[in-house]
Amino acid sequence: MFHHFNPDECTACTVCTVHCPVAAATSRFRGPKMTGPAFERFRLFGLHDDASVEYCSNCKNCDISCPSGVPVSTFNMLARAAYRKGKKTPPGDLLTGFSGDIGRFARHIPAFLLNFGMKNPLSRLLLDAVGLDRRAPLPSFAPMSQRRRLASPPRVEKAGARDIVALFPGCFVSYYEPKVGLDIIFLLEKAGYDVIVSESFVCCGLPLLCGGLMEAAQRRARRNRREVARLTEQGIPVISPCPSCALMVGKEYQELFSEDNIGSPAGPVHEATSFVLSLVEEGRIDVTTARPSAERFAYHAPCHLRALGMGRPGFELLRQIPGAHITDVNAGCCGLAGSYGMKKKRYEIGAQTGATLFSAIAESGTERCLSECGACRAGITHGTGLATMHPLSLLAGVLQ
Amino acid sequence: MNGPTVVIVGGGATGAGMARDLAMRGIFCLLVEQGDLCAGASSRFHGLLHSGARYVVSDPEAARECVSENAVLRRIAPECIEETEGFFVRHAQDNPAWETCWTSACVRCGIAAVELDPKEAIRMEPALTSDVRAVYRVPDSAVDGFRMVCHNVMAAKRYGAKVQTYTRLTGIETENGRVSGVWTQCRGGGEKTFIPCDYVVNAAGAWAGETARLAGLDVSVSPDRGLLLAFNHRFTERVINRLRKPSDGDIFVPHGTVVIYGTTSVPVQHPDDISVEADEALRLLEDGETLFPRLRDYRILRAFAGTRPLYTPDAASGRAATRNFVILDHKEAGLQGMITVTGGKFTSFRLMAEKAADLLCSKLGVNIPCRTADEPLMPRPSKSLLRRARNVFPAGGSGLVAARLGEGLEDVIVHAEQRPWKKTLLCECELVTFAEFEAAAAQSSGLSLGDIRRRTRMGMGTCQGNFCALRACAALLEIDVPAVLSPRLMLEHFLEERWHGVRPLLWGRQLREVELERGIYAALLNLDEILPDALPACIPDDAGAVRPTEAPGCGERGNARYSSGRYDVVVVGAGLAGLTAALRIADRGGNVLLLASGAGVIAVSGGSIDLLGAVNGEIVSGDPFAWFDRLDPSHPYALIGACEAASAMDFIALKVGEAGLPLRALAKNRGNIWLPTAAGTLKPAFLISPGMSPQGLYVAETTAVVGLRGMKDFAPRLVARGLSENPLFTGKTFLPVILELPGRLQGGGRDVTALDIARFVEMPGGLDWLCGELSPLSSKTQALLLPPLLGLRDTAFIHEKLEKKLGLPVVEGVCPPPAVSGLRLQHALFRALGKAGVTIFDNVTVVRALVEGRFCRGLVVRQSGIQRIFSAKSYIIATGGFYGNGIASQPGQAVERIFNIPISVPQYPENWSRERFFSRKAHAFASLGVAVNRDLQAVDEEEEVLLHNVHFAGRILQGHDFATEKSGSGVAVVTGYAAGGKA
Repeated sequence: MFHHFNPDECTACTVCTVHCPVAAATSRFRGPKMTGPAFERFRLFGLHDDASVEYCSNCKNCDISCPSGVPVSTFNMLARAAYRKGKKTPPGDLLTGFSGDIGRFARHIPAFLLNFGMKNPLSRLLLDAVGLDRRAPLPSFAPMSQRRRLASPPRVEKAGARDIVALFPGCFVSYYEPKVGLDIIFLLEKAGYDVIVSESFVCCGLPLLCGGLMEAAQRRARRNRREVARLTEQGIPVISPCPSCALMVGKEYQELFSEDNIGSPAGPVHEATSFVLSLVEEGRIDVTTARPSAERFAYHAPCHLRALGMGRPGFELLRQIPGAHITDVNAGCCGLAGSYGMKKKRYEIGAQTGATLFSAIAESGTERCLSECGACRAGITHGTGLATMHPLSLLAGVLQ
Repeated sequence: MNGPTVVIVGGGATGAGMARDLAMRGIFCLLVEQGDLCAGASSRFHGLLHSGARYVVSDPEAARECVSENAVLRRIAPECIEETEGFFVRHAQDNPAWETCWTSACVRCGIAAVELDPKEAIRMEPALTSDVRAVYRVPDSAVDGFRMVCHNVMAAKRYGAKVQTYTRLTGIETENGRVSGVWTQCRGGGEKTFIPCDYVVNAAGAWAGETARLAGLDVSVSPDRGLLLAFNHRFTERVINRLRKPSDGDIFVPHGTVVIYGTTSVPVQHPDDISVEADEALRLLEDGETLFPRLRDYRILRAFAGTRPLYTPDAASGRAATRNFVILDHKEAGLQGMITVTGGKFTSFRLMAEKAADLLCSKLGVNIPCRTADEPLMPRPSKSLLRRARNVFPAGGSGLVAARLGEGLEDVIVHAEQRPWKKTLLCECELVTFAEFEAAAAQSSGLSLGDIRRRTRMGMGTCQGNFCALRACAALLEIDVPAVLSPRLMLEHFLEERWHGVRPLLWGRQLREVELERGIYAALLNLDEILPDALPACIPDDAGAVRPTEAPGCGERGNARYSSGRYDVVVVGAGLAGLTAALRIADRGGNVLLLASGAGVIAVSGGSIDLLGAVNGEIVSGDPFAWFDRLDPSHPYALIGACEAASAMDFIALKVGEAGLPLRALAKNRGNIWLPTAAGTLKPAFLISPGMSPQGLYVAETTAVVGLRGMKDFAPRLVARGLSENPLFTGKTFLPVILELPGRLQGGGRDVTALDIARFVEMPGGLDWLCGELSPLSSKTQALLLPPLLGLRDTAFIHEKLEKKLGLPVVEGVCPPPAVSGLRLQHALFRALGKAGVTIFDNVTVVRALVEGRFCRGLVVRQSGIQRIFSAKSYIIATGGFYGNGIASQPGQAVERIFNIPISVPQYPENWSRERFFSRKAHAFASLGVAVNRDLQAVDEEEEVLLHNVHFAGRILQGHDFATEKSGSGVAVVTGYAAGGKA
């Protein structure tokens, strides 16, 4: 039995469909209004038979644009899971869904082996055969030493009672870009925090959810939520450098799963840049002392960061770096949408979606693009050839 | 031809059941019904197929009938019944003694009521209250009353019965104490017809008393009105009965996509009295909350009432009257040949029919036994047919549609297979395809869209006809249904009928849906037909762009009085008002943060700036600014004044123009421009983009109205008919033309909209395709009218190129959402904001404000337990009205959301609105909002400023009505501009 909630806020106004990047790219997708709240009324009536929900990329532009506050994408994800029930999960979805477990499993394997294993032409053919498009950008594993250092950061003994924060690094940062996590640890320690990385945290479950693997996602939700609750009870804030993880753990668990199934009460999860921004506003980090930077940057707000509904903290933060020139490109979804654009049959949709963003970045005449989301960064590099960076890595750099 | 042996009066369940029964026994009968089939109580009830458990204590005989009939109907008509089962739930408040009495009565009546652990019951129905003391399971089901009646009639016709709907019985002729025939008359008057017959069966339900009076008989039937509420989604999977002495508000029935809840019992004078009182609905809701504590969180689609026929010879009434049926042979009253079947309830209609038919047969000497309980009502569709249905009907809905259509299924499938574009959804909320609609329309009387609504469920879902009603009218024209009324009138009647059901419920989500409806039908499509006396002589052209007004005292520009702090102003709301305000502040050198919650409705608006089309129902002619004097002094325009309003129009035209979307107004005398719409009407606008200019249409003798196959929101025949019937276009010809879709857009799955085509036109080869398709028309016509499809970004360029290539003017009409013109305007505004350096945070919902004395110190945003505060020197609140969620409403209350400013509202709920939806005088709710002074600061009743550094703009302001005045986007721009100048 799936968890259902109330589709009554929807007025059928079609704003979400107008703003849906997937609907813009293909008419095979009925659009978020139809597959979401409209069909939800029929799903409550026992009809789960709409294949077009497979096209949703869960980018959440429907949620962002909805004038009525309907969590359209959640309806779609629940619908997909219901549709997939009793059907075989495509191997591509299994692979991306469980990529977190793969990363965890491979934590003691050197990066060059992993990357060669994954990216040699033969492997790409193989991956292509199971559903990951040959042209799609695959992330590279980071050096093992970095991955290990993030998993258990060295405790720096400092005098006095210090505040503690817990980092929920998320799979992308843990396995592919631990440097981002380490930069954030640097910033937090500078602000007077001790940072812990809890071993109890697992993948947030979003890739599983997108692959329709609801039950596996629910198990992870249970575990993460218990840990967030434990930390929150002790007054330890939980922060994540990945907007999608923060969104999933902090907000969407309660929409997706019924309270009975995931137990512990909801605890807040802070997206890292907004947390650091608040530290800057409180004066715990002084940005004015940063090394001035004359570089021009493009800033791309990831869809899931926008879905968090907290503004554009990365953009606000970076604007305070003396001399920095930041352009908010504000040109929509990168098209990769996590792993959506990596999938065969979805690659073209992703590429068409991202084209607007990529040309806007190119037009901005910058050499580097900043974005909080790892997948967006990969997508932008793939689409524009530009170097990308997490905003907090830039900040850490100028404060070092 | 011989006349019928029996005339049955009344096309409800009883009458239809009689017709089937008699016809199956070979008796020729004619059924006459004053309205459509099932227009009375048979479609205006819970839709509950009783297990009988409700009646076990008060009416054991009725209960026993229910037990057996329930089983019979499930067997013969499974396509009309949803086997939901039912719960009887005793709440902590309810008397336990009744439970004891009820359980033993169930045993006596042979009803299997199985006790369930309340915890288990709550697990099965999580929306139920936890204050449950006892739960019993019973074999209740949901039944579709209309479908049951319709299928009975189909079956009766199969056996030779005749049916006449919209035919009123005007007299019963008798000869020597015997019925000799009846007089009938079609609705809408006309000749009375005499139909000779041997017997008359009075099955007129609540109208049975009136029918009997025609024969000089007295039958005491008391109409008893019951109110029901239909909810938008299925919050319960089972029928939920309250286990107490039968009372009001006891039963919830899940029904397809909705839940029906009721009812009440109010004796009324006349069976036609199906009025709905707001108080009654509120009382019902209060009752219902006992079992479903979150009932008020669920959207109500509509309220409706039906009149039960209570047989009351002994003057009992209401809940005390028996629910049993009676068959009266009027022989005893001295009239041979007439019987009356009345009382009873839906569940036992077949049995009533059987008993009455037995009586008639004995009189007629017919010895054939009743077979209605044995033969299936409808033949079952074959597996191969159902397989074909899956390719034709959307998403798992094929079974649903198959059940709905009964015998008509195959025809509809063939229809859709031959014309794939008919698979397009006419009603997206209830999954009704054009194919199904057309099949139902072909059988309808052509008198009302309501007939088709009942047969298909079109317009009965979430949007309550907001999107499908126009398509329905277009579809009727398309298939040449001999319409008695013009499509426009039918549309109007349909919307008025929907309005009747929602009017008593004008708060919260219902009110938001109504605002969307007014946005589409009144503001966008001008269906209330505010029309100019003559078309303006002067048409915007190259010279027509509004020039910045340099008149003295007309507002200051560009003076940077802002400091370099973080933000000078926070603007809340990304509708037209908020965007204009942000632009103005940025233009004056201010540092602006724009907080948007949702994309704003510009994206689905018409894309023109409508300044003022009418004042108190009077059409604005000539310069609209000159009409500001006639407005109420509290109207935003009156507060701001014509001078600044003109500057605002100049400003927006300039800024949006700089961002690539030129906006133009009439060059001289500044009148409104009348734009053709998808409804075939004209609507007034002040600023328009080039493709909208209707100049070509005004002068051409022949205009081709061009639509695309399967693009459902712009139907050329409807548009052409509307325009050609318009006195302003007398003597002109409008030629409907349909183009085939480009291959890329065919058969995708999603129904194609103008937006898809606009995107296609901007792709490589897209414009060539369009030119190629349109060029054959250039020799036949002098102008082209299209839906807005000339691209999203480069419209001006595409439009110019197309006109040049074709050598004739091309006009884009105004289309309902999702339209393209609004999106273009939105994109241009965001480009302008980006250029001006405005910081935009989307999807940020302000939940409250920090206020110190009479100053706002910050706006609080909260999401998932995390809070942020946005501060600035001043604030502009452009969060919209009811639709934009700037104003929250509850029964009899409205409040501004961020600062909790109370909004004064009419005292009684019925004073919130007018009787008619399309009222030229504004509904009271339409102009509710925040009261402000000339500086757009909120003021209290003593005109004291509430918050010195907060300014309000757009629909949130009181004193204007975007729909009747056609002023929505104008007020947004003018007040946004003014607020931006003051903040």
